[in-house]
Amino acid sequence: MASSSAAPAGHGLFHQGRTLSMMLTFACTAECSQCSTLSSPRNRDHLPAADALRAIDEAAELGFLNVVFTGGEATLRWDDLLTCIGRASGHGLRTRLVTNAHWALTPEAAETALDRLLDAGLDEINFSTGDEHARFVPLPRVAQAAAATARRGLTAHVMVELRQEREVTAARLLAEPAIQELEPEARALVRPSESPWMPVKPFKVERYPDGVASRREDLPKLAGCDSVLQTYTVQPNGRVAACCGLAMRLVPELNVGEVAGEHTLRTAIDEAEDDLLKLWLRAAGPEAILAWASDRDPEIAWEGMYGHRCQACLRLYKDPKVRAAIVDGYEEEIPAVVQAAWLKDRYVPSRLSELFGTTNDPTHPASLTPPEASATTEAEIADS
Amino acid sequence: MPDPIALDKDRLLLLKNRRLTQRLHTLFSELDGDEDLQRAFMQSPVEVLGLEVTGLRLDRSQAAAVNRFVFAALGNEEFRSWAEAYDREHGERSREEVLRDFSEALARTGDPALMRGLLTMLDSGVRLEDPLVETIIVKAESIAIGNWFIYKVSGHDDIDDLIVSPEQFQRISRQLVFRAQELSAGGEL
Repeated sequence: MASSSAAPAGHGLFHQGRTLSMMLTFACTAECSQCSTLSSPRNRDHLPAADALRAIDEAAELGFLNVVFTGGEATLRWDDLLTCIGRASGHGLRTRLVTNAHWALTPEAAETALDRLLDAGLDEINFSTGDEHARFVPLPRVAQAAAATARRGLTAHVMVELRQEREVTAARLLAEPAIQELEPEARALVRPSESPWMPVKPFKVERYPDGVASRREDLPKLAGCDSVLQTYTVQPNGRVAACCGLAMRLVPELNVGEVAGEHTLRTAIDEAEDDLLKLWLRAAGPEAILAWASDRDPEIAWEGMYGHRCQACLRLYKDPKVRAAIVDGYEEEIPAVVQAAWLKDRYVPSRLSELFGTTNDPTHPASLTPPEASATTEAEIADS
Repeated sequence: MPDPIALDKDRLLLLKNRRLTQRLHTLFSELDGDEDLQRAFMQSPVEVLGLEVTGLRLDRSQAAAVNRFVFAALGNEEFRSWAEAYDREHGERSREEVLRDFSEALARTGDPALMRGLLTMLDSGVRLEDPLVETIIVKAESIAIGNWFIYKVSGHDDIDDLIVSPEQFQRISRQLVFRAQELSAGGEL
């Protein structure tokens, strides 16, 4: 084997297509039950603009692909938001805002806000709604914002909370007058999708439609976690999480650094990639690890409990039996985990790039990550 | 070997081993620019990774022979089902029991490809009694599937059938079992 020095610090094992998720504030106009980021109108924590800008600058240096502004409700830090979008855009990073659309009080207000965001350099906008959000931001307001987005030729991704019993659905959003009044071409740009609304307790079981909660037979269909080690989330308290962050405030292991003072995004990445469990989550996903743990300890029951994989991840970190199984048996999984990581994040992207001219840029026609898939992670539904 | 980690309720669940992760940085960098090493890693991550990290001891021909056997096993639905169920249901059996059950399951299949794979493996000097072999055959299915996939991708063999969409990519390992079965049915394994 040829000798070679280690990769430079901060370069990382997985250096293609990272996302910087920026939580400018934990404040939110909504106070949803089971908000997984623990955001609320009463939480006024916010990230100093200087820290946010420094993180954006460093993300650009490290070759990040895009910046997602989420929260809390990022638009509550309106001036900082526009400044940060401008800075990211100036670096050539794609930008996305996840919002609950509280600002779309009237069609005119929606148009004005959108124009200012787009003028600042915003590339994509996603909306969050559902029974919880709609208690604080009425559905017609979301429809107004989505319609204004579509009229500007942008796709309006709308994530709708999914539970067994619910009033707000994707179909109901599409039936809103603001959407119905759109020309067909613009209406086609309003794309709602439903995503499980998760409890932020590891053993609380939410009721979902049939087939949503994972079972062992679903494992072949489930991917590894595409968020961990790919998305780095800067929180209002300056901490950096190694994923898009649902329940990250409840899982200290997911917090890998800070952006304040001498701390950098680079050191946070190094810290995250030093943890084999995060590599394992990336390669296999939390459900597969729970299944593996239950093979070792039959008392670990998990099937049919988790519709949202971030809750399965929360279980993995909080259940002493699962933790014990992992510590006891992870070594035998190392070769498979490492190979899967290499295949997924290094070899196959480069190989496909050579063969087909593909790229990790989701806007590229031959992208490895289609825009639909990259537009909004499941996790982002609960962020605003 | 990774450092042993013992947890209590107040400790963080972090599987940290600086030597291993530093090794991965080096390995991945080497892999980026060394096609021979890529090929070796495709054929046998156990060998490439194992010697320095996990403490496993197989030489290249032995590892390749084990992998070949596992590929053949993947193509045999009966044996694959047995291996999956066996690992799940009989985790506490003794080495002797595992070897006996393994032999019986192998014999029940009557699959010539499996038998050839077994003979090749035995010819390479691998001993079935070795706990490592049990681990590889019964538990390391994903390694073999990953090997198989990457071998096919890099080998330009049936590539049109194997390139998958991004959202499928992470799911590929399980799905490839079915492709392995097709190849087996066609006598290509």
